[in-house]
Amino acid sequence: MSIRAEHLTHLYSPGTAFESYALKDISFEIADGSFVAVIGHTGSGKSTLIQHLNGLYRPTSGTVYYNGEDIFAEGYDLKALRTKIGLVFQYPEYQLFEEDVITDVMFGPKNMGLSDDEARARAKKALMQVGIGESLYKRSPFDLSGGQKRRVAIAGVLAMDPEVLILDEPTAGLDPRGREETLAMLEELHSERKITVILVSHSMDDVAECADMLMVLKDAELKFFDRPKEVFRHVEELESYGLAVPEITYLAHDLIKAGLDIDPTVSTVSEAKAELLKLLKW
Amino acid sequence: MLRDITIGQYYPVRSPIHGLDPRTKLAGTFIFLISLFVTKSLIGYLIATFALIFLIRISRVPARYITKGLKPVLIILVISVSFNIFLTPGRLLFAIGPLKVTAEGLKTAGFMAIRLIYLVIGSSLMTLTTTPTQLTDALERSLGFLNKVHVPVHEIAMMMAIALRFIPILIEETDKIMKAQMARGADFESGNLIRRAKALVPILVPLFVSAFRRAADLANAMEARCYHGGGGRTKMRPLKYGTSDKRAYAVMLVYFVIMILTGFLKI
Amino acid sequence: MNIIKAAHIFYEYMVRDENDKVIETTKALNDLSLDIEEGSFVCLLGHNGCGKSTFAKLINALNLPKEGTLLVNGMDTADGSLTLRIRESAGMVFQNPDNQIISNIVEEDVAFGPENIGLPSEEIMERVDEAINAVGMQAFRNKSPNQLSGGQKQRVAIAGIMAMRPKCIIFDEPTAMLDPDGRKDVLEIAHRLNREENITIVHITHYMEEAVDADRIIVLENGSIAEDLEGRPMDGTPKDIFSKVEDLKALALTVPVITELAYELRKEGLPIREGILTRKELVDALKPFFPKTR
Repeated sequence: MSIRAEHLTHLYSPGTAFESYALKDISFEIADGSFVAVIGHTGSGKSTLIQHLNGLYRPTSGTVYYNGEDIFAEGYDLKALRTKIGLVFQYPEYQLFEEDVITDVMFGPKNMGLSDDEARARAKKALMQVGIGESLYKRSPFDLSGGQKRRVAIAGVLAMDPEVLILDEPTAGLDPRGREETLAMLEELHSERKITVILVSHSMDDVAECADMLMVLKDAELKFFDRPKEVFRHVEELESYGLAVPEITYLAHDLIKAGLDIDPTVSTVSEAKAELLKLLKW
Repeated sequence: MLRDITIGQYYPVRSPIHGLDPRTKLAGTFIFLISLFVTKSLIGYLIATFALIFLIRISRVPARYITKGLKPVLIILVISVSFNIFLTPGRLLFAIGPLKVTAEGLKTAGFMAIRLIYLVIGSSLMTLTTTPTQLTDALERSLGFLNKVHVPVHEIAMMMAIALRFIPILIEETDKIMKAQMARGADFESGNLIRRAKALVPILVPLFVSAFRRAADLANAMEARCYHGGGGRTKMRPLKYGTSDKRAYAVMLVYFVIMILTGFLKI
Repeated sequence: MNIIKAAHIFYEYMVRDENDKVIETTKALNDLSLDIEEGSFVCLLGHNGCGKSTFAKLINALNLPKEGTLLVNGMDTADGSLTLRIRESAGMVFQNPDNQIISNIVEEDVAFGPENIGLPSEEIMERVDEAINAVGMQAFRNKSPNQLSGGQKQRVAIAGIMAMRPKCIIFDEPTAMLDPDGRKDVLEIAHRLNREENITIVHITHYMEEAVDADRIIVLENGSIAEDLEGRPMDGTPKDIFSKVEDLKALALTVPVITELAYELRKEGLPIREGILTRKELVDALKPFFPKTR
C-alpha cells in the first residue's frame, strides 16, 4: 500500500519555443501512514506534482502507482481514485458553493453515489474532525469567518473518507491561532485515523514540527526525499535553492560557531530546549 | 482555447505603429474593415493584402503571433465557408451527393474567407500594438460627444479596461475551481444536458463570489488611490496627434479612395 | 509630530437579514485611541477580527468612524472636502496583490493615482519614474501585471502609492498571500522607504517575525489596544512586547521562535534576560553558560 511515482515527467507546451519542464524524472515512494512535507520555491513544481498524484494532470512520461496499480493505465477509474486521494487546494474556501455548511460538505460523498443519509453521516463526522460544531451546520458557508470557512472546505474533502490527504498550503493567510489549529488538526488526523498526509508548505518551521519525511523540489527536480533532520544538514544546498532551514537550526549553527558542541540538526523549540538544558547542565 | 485569443493582448515592442495615436489606429482599423467590404475585385484584395503585410512588417509583431489569433475563429470560418460553397446557386462544377459545388460558390466562399481572416488580423494588429488603456482612452476621447446625451463614456471605458485586466485572472480561477471540484468527485463530462448544466453550479457560484469579492477589493483600492470618476483626471500620456498621425491619416485616405475605385472594377 | 491621531473612535459592522433588519452588530473598533508619530515604523498585531484592518480603512477615509475623531496629517477624516488630500498623504497597500492593480501595464498602473489627482503629464511621468525606481521594478515597467509574481505585484502596488508622494503608507497584511521571498521583498522595501524617504509605515501583519524590526508594536484586541495580564496596554518596542510571551499567547498570538526558545529556557530558571528577539542576542545571552572547554 503506497503511492509510488516512477520517472514522472511533465512538459509544458512541448514542441514549442516555450517548452519547459514542470516535473523532471521524479521517482519516490510514499509509505502508508506517513506524514510527508513537500517544500520548494514558487514554480518549483510542487503544485503540479500533487495534481499528478490524483490524476488531475497527466504526465508526459513516467507514471504513478497507487497500491501497485498504474493510475494512468487505460480503464483505471480516476474518479474513484480521487475519493481515496483527497486533494485540498490552496485557499479551499474559494470552492464553497452550497446554501449551508452541511450540504456543502455532503457534495463529495454524494458524488461518490452515497445516499443522503450516508452522505450526511460522513459530513457530520468530517465536520466534527475539523472542529465545526452542529450550531454552524445550517449557516451559509459565506457567513463564516476565514478560519471556519477553511475548515469546512477541508471537511468537504475529508467527508469522502480518503486514505491519503494532500493539502496545498493549508495555513496560507491564516492568523497564528488558525495556523496552529490547522497543523494540530492535521497531526491528529494523521495519528488517530492513520491517514497518509502530504503537505505542501513554504514554512520550514511548520514542517519541522510535524513531518516525518521531507521532499524538496527545485526547478522541477526532486532534490531531497529524506527525514527532515537529514535534509536540514544540507544548509548550503537548501539556501542555493532559495530555501532556508528552520530558524532553530540556524541558531544551532550559530551556537556551534560560538563554541557550543550542540547537535547541528535540532529544528524545533522543544528539541533545542532539551538539548540546551542538557549541555548547559541546568 | 480561451488562452489562444490574441485580441486584447498587447505585444510590447517599439515600432512606428506602436507609436501612433490610438485614435489613428482605431480609425485605421475601421477604414480597413470597411474597405474589405466595398471592394469586390481581386485587385482590391491584392492591395489589401499588401497593405496588411506592410503594416505587420513595420509593426514588428511576429507573424505567428498574429496568426495564432486566427485559431479560435477557425470553426466560424469553416462553417461560413462551407455554407457559401454549397448553398450558392450558379454554374455547377461538380456534386458530392446532394451537395452541389458551383463556381460562384467557390468564389464567394474564397472572398468570404479572405474577408474574415483579414478582419481578424486587422483588428488583432490594432490590439497587439495598442495597450488596453490607450485603446480605452481612444474610445473615451472619440466617443466623448456621447456624454452630451448622458452616456457615461468614461465609466464604460474604465469598465472595459478593468474587464481586460481581469479576464485572464478569472479564466485561471475557473480552471482552478474546476479542478478542485473534480477532486471532490464532481463530473463535468458525462450525463445529459440538464445534468451537465447542474454540474456547473459548483463552478459558477464560487466564481461569482470570487468576482464580487475582487470587485469590492478593487473598488476600495481605486478609492484609496483617489479615484473619483472621470472629472478632474489627467493623463500621464495624453492623446496627442503628431506628424506621423497626420501622415497615417493621409495614407489611409489614399488607400480608402483606391479601394472604393477597385469596387467598380470588374477584375 | 503625530501623523495619525485617533481619539476615542468607534466603528460597527451590521449584519442585516433579507428584510434589511439589523440582526447583528459587531463593534469592530471600541473606543480606540492612539497616536502615531511621523517617520516611525509601527506594527499592528492581533488575531483576525481584532479590528486592525478596520482601523486601516478608517485612516484612508474609506470608512468613517461612527464616533470619535481621527486626524490624518492634521486633517479630520470626517471632513469630506479633505478626503482626497487624506488619501494622497496616507496611501494603502492591500492584501491581495491582484485586486489592487487596475491597469494592464505596470507604469500605467503606477500613474493611476497621480492621474486621479489631476497632476500635469510631465509631473506624472517624473513621479512614475521615481516610484518605479524606488521599488526596483525598472525592468518590468512595460510588462503586464499578469506576468509578475505575487511579490512583484505588491512592489507595483507600493510604487502606485509612492507616486502620490505620501507621508504615510498603511500596509494591510500585504504579505499574507506571498511566498517567503515575496514577503522579504515587501518588508525590505517598507523599511527602506521608512529609512530613506522618512515615510511613516503602519504595517499590519500576522507574522511575528515581521514585527521584530519595527520601532513600535501595538497589539489590538476587540477593537482597542489590548491589555497585558496586569492590565497595562500592549503598546511598546518589540523588546517590550515580545517579553510578554504569556500575555501574547492569551491573545491568541505567538512570538518569534527564538523569543519562544529564550522564554522556555527562562522558565526553566536559566537567568537570561527577557525580550530576546534575534539569534545573535540569544547566542550572546547563552555564552556565559557555555561549559568550560574540555
